[in-house]
Amino acid sequence: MSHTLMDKIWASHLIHKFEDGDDLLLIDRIFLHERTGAFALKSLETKKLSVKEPSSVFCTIDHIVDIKPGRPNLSRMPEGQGFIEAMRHSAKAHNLKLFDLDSPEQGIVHVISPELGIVQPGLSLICADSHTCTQGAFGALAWGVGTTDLEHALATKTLKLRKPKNMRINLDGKWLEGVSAKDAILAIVSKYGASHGNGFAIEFAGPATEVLCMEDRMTLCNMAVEFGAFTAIIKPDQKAISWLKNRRYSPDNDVEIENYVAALFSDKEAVFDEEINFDVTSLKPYVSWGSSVDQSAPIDSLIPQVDGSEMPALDYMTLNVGTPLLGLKIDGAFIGSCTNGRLTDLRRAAAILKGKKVAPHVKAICVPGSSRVKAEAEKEGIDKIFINAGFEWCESGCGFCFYAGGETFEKGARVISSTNRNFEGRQGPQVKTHIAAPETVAASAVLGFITSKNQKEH
Amino acid sequence: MEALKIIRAPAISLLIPNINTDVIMPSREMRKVERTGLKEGIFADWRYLPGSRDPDPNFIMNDERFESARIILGGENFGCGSSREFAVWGLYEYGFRVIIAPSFGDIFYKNCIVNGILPAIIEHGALEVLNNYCLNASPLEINLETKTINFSGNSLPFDIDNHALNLLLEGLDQIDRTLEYTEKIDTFINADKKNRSWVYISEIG
Repeated sequence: MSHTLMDKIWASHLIHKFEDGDDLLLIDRIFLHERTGAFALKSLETKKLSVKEPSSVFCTIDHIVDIKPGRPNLSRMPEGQGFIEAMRHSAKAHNLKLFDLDSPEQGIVHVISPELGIVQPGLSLICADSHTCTQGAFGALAWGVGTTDLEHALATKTLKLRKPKNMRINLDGKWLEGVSAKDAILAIVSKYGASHGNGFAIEFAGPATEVLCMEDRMTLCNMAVEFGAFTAIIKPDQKAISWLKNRRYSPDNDVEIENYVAALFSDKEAVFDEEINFDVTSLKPYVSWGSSVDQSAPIDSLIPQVDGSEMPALDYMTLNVGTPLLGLKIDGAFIGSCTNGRLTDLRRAAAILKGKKVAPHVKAICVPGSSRVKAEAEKEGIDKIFINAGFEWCESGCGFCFYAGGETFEKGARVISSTNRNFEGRQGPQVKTHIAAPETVAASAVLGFITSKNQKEH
Repeated sequence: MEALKIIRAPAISLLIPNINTDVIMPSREMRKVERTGLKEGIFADWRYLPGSRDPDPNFIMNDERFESARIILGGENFGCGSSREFAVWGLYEYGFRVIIAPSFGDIFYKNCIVNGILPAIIEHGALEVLNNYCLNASPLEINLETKTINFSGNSLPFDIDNHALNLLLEGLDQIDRTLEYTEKIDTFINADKKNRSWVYISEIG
């Protein structure tokens, strides 16, 4: 019998098969953040239950923390402080490891989990955050859950769930200069629709996946939830193993692990419920034009014809069918988030920003994905490039990726953003978010309108 | 969680694809580390006029004919986006018990079931029929045992997986059920500790 990579990990975690078709699956690692973590723990307490294996649970404070430079130890979100205090209290009460704001290891959960080697190939890992699929880039089965599921996993170290279907997306061809994983996933989601991946675990494969660095693989997997998928995964190769080596929580008995990891691939004859082949060779930088991720298009195209159900999106974005995306005036630019707030993203943006100034009318923000990313960027002098260009250089967190009531862009501002969601109000009241790769965000910030590094003139 | 068998109520129509959990429960509406006090935040950006708490008369929830609505007719991929369970808690607190849509965001779907909301899947054609019927606030009857949506002598089947259906019908807490398997879980973990010793971190450093 041939199996997919997902099938193999699933099978190695399968404790019990229920008659109704669900499986009871072992959960190796659980990550909590302040927005939902304390809830689950509090709820356990009321049921007089405890955390089954505290050493497999990790906590961070990322979602609603202030990201202003030299931040005070609080949240700008109305009543946000309660969530932070509750997380601290609960982590302590249950003896869980917390990466608090004063820790050099603090950061966005999906950035720090790989950084610290908490995610490893072949593990099952959950967090009450939809972008947990990011961590599938390391060959782990990692997915986002709700708070009730979190509570269940904390108490039992298991989840009862239906096995997802298998989809493989084969990326082929050659990546052109200035085109990245972010552009590919925007192109795929816009081609097939935001719900096309519903019920699937997606394996990204093929030569154009294999050449990607780990950070780009994470970007690819991060956006799988915007395709509707349960999760995404990539076969762990030497690149993944090397990347995780000597991280704080990475195990040190290499031989045992490498033998284990060597078996983590989809068998040649494995059958997928669906396969998509996508050639990246002719890919251009992509930008979203609507309020759903599938409403994206090549940067040099016109806003396409829409059907009636998509009209509210155009109204919200104050755009018309036939308007060119290139040259749309922007008010804001954002680089950060669990999608594109890692060191490579900052380096790429800095390469474009070096020696240049952001257009005077643009409010430009950079929020590093973790405190370590920030520190390493500062060591390389990247912070100076951002600051000299006119960017605000912030502390790490989820700030500006979504609006929780704290600081944001101007009401109704048009923003080019390296994040993952262009939903209505996602980055602030009436804020119009255009998702793009960090390179596109940086180039657009400089000119003050939507452009890409590859665009010479308009 | 309350058991769910039959719901008879008007339905509000929100036939827009990809209605996400940010829209259902904007982030800033989650103010406390509690599951309650969330109903005012449901669809806040659509329900209230910008920058206020004044009802937007054009939004269907503010139409008095739909005051007793307990059902939502949604579009493709309803509840996509963030995993926030607050969205489901808010819907439940407001009184919604059924969402009928062609497909759902994966995490939202599961969140509905564990919180006593039926996510009923029907085809586009059937959804159109229901939509026409519901526009004037005529009530639908949803019967979980027969898996049907009934209205003025018609009956349309909806789809839901059996486990989810049983949970909703019985109103059970899944943790209690899983704890019955504790011995099997522990046996599995003990064997796993030998096979994959490196997965188990011995202490928190």
